Amino acid sequence: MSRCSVVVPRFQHVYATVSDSAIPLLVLVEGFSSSSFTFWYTPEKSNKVKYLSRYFESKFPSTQFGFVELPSMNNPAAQVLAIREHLSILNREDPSPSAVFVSAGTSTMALSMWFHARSNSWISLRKGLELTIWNPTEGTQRTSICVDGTTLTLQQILYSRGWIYNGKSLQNEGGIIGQDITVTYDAEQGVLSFLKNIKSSKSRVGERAVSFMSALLDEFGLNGATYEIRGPLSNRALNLMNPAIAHTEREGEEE
Amino acid sequence: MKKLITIFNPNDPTPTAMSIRTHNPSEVHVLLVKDKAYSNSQKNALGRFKSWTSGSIRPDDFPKHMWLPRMDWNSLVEMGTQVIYHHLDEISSFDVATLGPHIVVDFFSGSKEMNVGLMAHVQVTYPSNNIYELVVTQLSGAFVNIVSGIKKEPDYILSIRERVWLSSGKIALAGEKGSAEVGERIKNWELSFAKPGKIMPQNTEQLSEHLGSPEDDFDFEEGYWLEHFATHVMATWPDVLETRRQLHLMPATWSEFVAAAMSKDDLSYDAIGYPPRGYSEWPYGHDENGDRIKVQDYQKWRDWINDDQMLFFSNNTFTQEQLEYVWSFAFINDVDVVAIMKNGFWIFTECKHRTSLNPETSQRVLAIASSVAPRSSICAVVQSHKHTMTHPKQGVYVIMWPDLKNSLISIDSSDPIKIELYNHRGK
Repeated sequence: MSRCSVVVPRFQHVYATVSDSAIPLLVLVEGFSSSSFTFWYTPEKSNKVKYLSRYFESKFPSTQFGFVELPSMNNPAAQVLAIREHLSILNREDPSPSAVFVSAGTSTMALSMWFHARSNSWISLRKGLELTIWNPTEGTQRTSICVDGTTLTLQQILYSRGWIYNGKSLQNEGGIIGQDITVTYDAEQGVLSFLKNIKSSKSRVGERAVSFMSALLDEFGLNGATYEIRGPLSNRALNLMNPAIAHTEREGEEE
Repeated sequence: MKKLITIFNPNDPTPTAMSIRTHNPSEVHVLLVKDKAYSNSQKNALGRFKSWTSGSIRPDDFPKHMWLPRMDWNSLVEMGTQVIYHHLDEISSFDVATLGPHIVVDFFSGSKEMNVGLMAHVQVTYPSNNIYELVVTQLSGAFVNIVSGIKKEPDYILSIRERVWLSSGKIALAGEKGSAEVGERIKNWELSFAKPGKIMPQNTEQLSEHLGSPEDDFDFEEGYWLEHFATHVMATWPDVLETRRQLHLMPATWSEFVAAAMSKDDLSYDAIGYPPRGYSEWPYGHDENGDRIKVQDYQKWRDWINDDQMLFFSNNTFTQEQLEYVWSFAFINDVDVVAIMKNGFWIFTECKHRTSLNPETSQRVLAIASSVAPRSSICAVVQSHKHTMTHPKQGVYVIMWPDLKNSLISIDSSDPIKIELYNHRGK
């Protein structure tokens, strides 16, 4: 029996933070497209905003999206004050029900957002396409909303971060190109996968692959994305590898 | 009487411990949520945390007389903190009402979802918010009140040895602490270009006096002085909390500790009195000449020698000097200089006062970074012949030692994930 609710709770406003991971914010908006969204971002993530904004506004023209810059990650006290000030104005102007998406951003940002928004409800996405909504103040049962993964396509997800894929190479608007890479999207699981096959055992080839995969990890984050390199890698390349990138020496043999 | 509430973080207990050090409370209520379902690695993390609270990480089977007391730190009891564990299926089953006033709820440790639940639970229990403070400890150890935005500095911060233990389960022996005061005196030291391709300091006798104790006899052709120099000068960087010279990582089991020490070629058996042919009786018999009968299986010989060496150390006592001597060889990984930054990042540095660099230097420093802090470390090689590279090369910053006078790596230039340091776009 499905745990998923057919009734989507209605929130006038949803607050969320722009983080490295691409999928969670896209799933959030698919799940609550009738709400308006305020996305907070720090200067460290500002390069993601123009692509996200373009994507959301073209896909959901009747939904209201706001992007608000916060002080840097290095100044959490100023972040709290900025969140408090912004939300006190919003609360005064429109006290309609709101919710906070807590699966992105730092604890300082998510917790102070939840406190100052006086939302009562939070939304989270630990993995996949299942959003959990809970009002911990009332202590009611958690509600699950299962988003249809087919409402997203591979090209849409890549476009939301300024990338395109032609079936062989991956390119972003800044000019970075990754050749001979396989990118897939599993609409059932809501997972984006990047796979790079290496045939040469030359260390430079492996190091370039690790470097490019690391850049992708920066672009698409950990939540809802997997990264794998198949083929021989030098010790130096292995030392540089982020633990989130899987490595298989040969097909079917995981290190 | 300050009462701290924090959710235990089973994937890495460092935030939980940091929160306790930061607030130095009279009581800490550690919430173990769904701990019956912890995986083995999470159970190990809880074990490491409990060892940390006890002030000693000496493994149970490690003989007391072989332990260095300076490896311990103050237990929470010695710090005046009582630890109370709460095993919970749900946050809401935590009985917060009995705690009374002066509560600090720190959301640094544990998932955000659980922490929102904890905040709501406290708010419902205490409608008046003058009973409690809602705070988040930061990676620097300072904490921010999420209601008022007020930031306060910590009472204490975790030492490098504590952090290594909590995050990796390895025992760390850290050398001399860097002094920003000494660093300020030496960071603009006059240079000598007398040797082609190698930048040397001038007035080396004077520099020696600043760098170490009178017993230290620095050979300025070798790299040892550079370790001291880098440790002190990096301590002047504004984003650095603490620097230490020589970080040695030891295995956390008695048998591996003995194997690590006794496998080093430079260790002298004479210095510790270990008999060259072993301490215990050879178990595989002797031939007619009284010589040992060789065993074909190498692993059997390896097991015997390890058991024999453990027995030797367990049955004998050693002078303090001998003990320090054994410990100085018992490492499985080491790095010349280590620094902790205010954002929780580590800087691991190798010092090479040579006219060339080999890839092994970079690999060593990258290996230790992977083992201690894979996602929050910066690797550097301080050297004497190449210009400083503003972008990391193959994951490692290459710094010419006179350039240490500038804070070359600042928090603003380091993103919270390591990938920024080995960045496709940065090349």
